[in-house]
Amino acid sequence: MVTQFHKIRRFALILMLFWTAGITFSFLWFYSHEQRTVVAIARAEARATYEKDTLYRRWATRHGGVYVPASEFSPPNPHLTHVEERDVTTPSGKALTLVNPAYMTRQVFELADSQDNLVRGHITSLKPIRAENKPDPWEAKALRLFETGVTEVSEVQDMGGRSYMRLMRPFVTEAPCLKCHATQGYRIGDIRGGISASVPMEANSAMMGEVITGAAVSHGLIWFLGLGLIGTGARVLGRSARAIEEREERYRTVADYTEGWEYWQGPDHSFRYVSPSCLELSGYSREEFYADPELLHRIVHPEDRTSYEQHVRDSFCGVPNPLDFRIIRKDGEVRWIAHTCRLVYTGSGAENGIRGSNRDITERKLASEALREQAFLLEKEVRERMEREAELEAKNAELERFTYTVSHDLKSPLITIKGFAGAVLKDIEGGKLDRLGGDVGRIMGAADKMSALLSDLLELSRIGRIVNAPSLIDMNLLVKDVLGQLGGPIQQAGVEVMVQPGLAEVWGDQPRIGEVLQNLVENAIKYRGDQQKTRIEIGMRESAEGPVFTVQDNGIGVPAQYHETIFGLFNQLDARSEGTGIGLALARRIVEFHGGRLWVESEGAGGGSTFCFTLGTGPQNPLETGIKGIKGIKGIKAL
Amino acid sequence: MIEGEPLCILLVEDNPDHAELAIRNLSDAGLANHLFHVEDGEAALDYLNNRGRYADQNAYPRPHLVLLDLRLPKVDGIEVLKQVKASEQLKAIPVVILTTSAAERDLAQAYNNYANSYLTKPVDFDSFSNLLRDLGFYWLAWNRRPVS
Repeated sequence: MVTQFHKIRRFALILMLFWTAGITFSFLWFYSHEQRTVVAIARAEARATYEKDTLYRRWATRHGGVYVPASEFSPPNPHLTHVEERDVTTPSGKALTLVNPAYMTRQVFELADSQDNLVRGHITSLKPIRAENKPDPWEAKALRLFETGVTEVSEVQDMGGRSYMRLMRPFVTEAPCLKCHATQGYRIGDIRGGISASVPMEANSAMMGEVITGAAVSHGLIWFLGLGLIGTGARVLGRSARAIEEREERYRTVADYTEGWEYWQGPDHSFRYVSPSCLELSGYSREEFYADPELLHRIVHPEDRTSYEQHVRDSFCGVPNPLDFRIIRKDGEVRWIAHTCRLVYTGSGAENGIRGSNRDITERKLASEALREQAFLLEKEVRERMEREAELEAKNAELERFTYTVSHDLKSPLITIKGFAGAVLKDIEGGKLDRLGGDVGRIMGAADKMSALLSDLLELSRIGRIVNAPSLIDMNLLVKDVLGQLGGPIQQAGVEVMVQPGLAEVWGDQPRIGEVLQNLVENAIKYRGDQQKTRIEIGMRESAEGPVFTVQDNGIGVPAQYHETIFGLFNQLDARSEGTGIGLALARRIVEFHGGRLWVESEGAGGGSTFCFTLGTGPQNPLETGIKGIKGIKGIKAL
Repeated sequence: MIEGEPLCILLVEDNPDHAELAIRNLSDAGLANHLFHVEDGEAALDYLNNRGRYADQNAYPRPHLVLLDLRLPKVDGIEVLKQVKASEQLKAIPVVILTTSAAERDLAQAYNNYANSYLTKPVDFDSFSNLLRDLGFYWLAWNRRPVS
């Protein structure tokens, strides 16, 4: 892995190389520049020397040469034999000889040559009059160049193991020159030869050597300083980079190796950080989340999206309540997620998005789902058991009441029978026969009552025990049947019976519902009172509980305080009325067995009464309840 | 009779046969000259309070003894007993429960509501006759009553 630290080191190395190259280049440039300067100075010196030489020579030429005492040092010039008065004698007898300009120049040059560090001169020509004046190879080359029009040639040359700046200019024939050189065929303006000046380079070179040494030293120092700075900078940078890397590794280790799916969303909702564990949980890689800020939003289960959106809005407003929601993984699997988040702030305290944590709680959710299901079943079982217990309790209470009333009501006729039998016997003994008929009548009445009671009790005990298969009952037909069976009593009592057409069809135990109707109609006849025209209306009305069937009469009515009493076993409002007091209790039991209700509505005494009943959902069917239970369980399982 | 005072009994009995038996036995014992019979609890309370058709205090005098059946139409015997014993004017009247029921619950309920005596109607005719005669003598002859 290329770390920041290594990058910095490599960069420093490259920087050092460039620095070295730069310093080297600078030094080389300086060196070459210095060299050029030295040459230019030498050339200027040579040029100045040349100008001076030419000036002296021109002076000599203008005078047509100068006379000097003839001596060993200056013998008469053998090449001037053709010149008149080459040698003259002064009146005092001193011998003078003519020194022509070239001769003079040569003598000066020879004088210079004898001295080591003077600028050396040399006069030369491709056609020298004097053999010693013939050019060396460099001069010959320069002279040839002059003939092509070049006016100055200069170059650093080695001569006799020493370095010289050599400069040469052409020597143009002028009028005074022809005095000596006309014989050679030169005309004015011809290039007759050249004068060279050679400046020894040693002094300049020595000076240059010093400058170069100084430059080398200063360049070296700057180079070294630069290297030191780069090295130190690299080290300092490297150290801080390493510190940053260590810190980053610490945070990365903490953030990347989390069990849950952690992330940081900026204020613009884009993902600034997503832990790699998102792949395991969602099936999507962190890169996909970075690329698409809407991705998380999209994978939220459609049913949870509204609450999730609300949560996101709340969270960015600073109210981050935890939320459980479902996501749909990349592979389509649904997972439960427990999500918590909080606002985060920059170092300066500005809001900087939210930091979220998602944990997979699918297993826990399923387990709690299963637990809830079990709890529900258990609760249901407990409820059912309690219902059964309550039912049992009610049955026990009913049984107790039943045995109580039975013992009372069955004993009652017995007392009558035995009492009047005793009275009859006593009367017979006493010969009092006038009361006999009545007393025997009472005995028989009591016996009849007992018989009726017994048969009603038998009937009552059958309800719930003997169940006819439920069927769809056409109430119109059933009412018609019942009225047919009661045709005798109805006619006897002169009762007018009206039946509302179009009664509903109901589901139930037909013979029992028939008994209910029969009981209610019989009751209406029995308690019709003393009026002339008794009317019974059988009808129906709709209600929330389904159809309500009504049997209405204009008889004696039931005062409000007895609206419930009349349905009790053996309860009769009028002791003198025929019947056992079981009828309404029986009817109510049948209706309740069907899941319905039976009640009375009456204005009170003389106001007539309306007996109403509903039939609920029909008689309880164990099979049906079973199916309902299974459906309930399935409903819970669906996630 | 013994004290030369007209004795008055209120019989509350819904069963006409039982009422007839009681009246016959009481009159055989010479105790039924001032006997009033009502058939339900409501009528009994009306009588005792001189309400409705029993408003005439001379025709329907305050009884010296109430014979009360428990199972009555309209207002139950226990309810009648409760109202009598709750009333300042009536609570001094001895109330004897005369019923077919021998149930513990009825017995307890009756005594808890300050019944003065609890009698079960015997099935046997002679026993019934003796019971009513003794009852009459006990409450009307031997028993001392407060001066009203």
